Amino acid sequence: MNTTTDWSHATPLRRGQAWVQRDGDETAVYNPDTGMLHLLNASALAIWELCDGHTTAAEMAEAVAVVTGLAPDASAADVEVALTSLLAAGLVEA
Amino acid sequence: MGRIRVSVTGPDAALTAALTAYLAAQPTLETTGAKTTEVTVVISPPTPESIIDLAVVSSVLVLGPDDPQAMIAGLEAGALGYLPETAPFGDVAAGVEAVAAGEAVVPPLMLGSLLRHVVRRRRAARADLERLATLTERERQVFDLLAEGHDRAAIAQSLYISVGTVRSHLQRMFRKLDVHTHADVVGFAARCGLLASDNEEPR
Repeated sequence: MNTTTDWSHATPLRRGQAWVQRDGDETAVYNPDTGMLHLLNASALAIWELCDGHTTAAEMAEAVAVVTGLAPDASAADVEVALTSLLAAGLVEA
Repeated sequence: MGRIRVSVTGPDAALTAALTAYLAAQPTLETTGAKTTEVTVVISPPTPESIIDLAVVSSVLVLGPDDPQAMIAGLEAGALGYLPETAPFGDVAAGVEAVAAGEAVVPPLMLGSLLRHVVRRRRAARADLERLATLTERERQVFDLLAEGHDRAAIAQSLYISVGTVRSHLQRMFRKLDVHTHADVVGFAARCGLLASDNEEPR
């Protein structure tokens, strides 16, 4: 897992070939490059959907804080954890 | 801790009655009238505006279409929570408890749409603030007075300038802000959070 990525000004991008299957509240995302299937919870899925290559991690954290009422520091930390996991899974590019 | 007082309103009498009966059977909830309710569950609101009055007197949980735009409209109108109309009654009861505790409730799979909307809103607000910063001090005074609802004559009187000068300031200010009407200015001020009654974001 890459734990050294500085997300503060990053504009992460979803991997273009990911395959998504939604079933109820669960979402499976398949990465054909690695052949791995990943189950994302709602929060991780929402962050992954925001990874359009234009939205910064800081903007994501700000939006999460607005919607959830989390303190800015806490939402920034949550977003960083989610992005780090998505990066490790090969589902986003930093 | 007392039970949460909840009421249900909607166009389908049978559904409204069934949900009311279910909520009344929950140990943490009690159903009540609209005047004493803490949480109002609104089923299929005809318009977002119909939520506004309810949100003034209680926390509102909307049950609406499984559509992100409908959810965003409901939350922007003042609802604290939104669930699909097809949500199981148990989810609605949990939603009532969460809303009563001041927590936002959104369908998990619509969270991404809501976050995208908030990001767009924040970007637009930042762009508006940048445009606002280009106004001269006098143009900003005119902007503030116009946003408060004053007409040209009142602005002229307030700033000790002529109506013609006010008109000149307005023309430059409108051009800088890319607005065209008095209503646009009020909307611009609202987006920038400069009106006393502004709510920041859907929660």
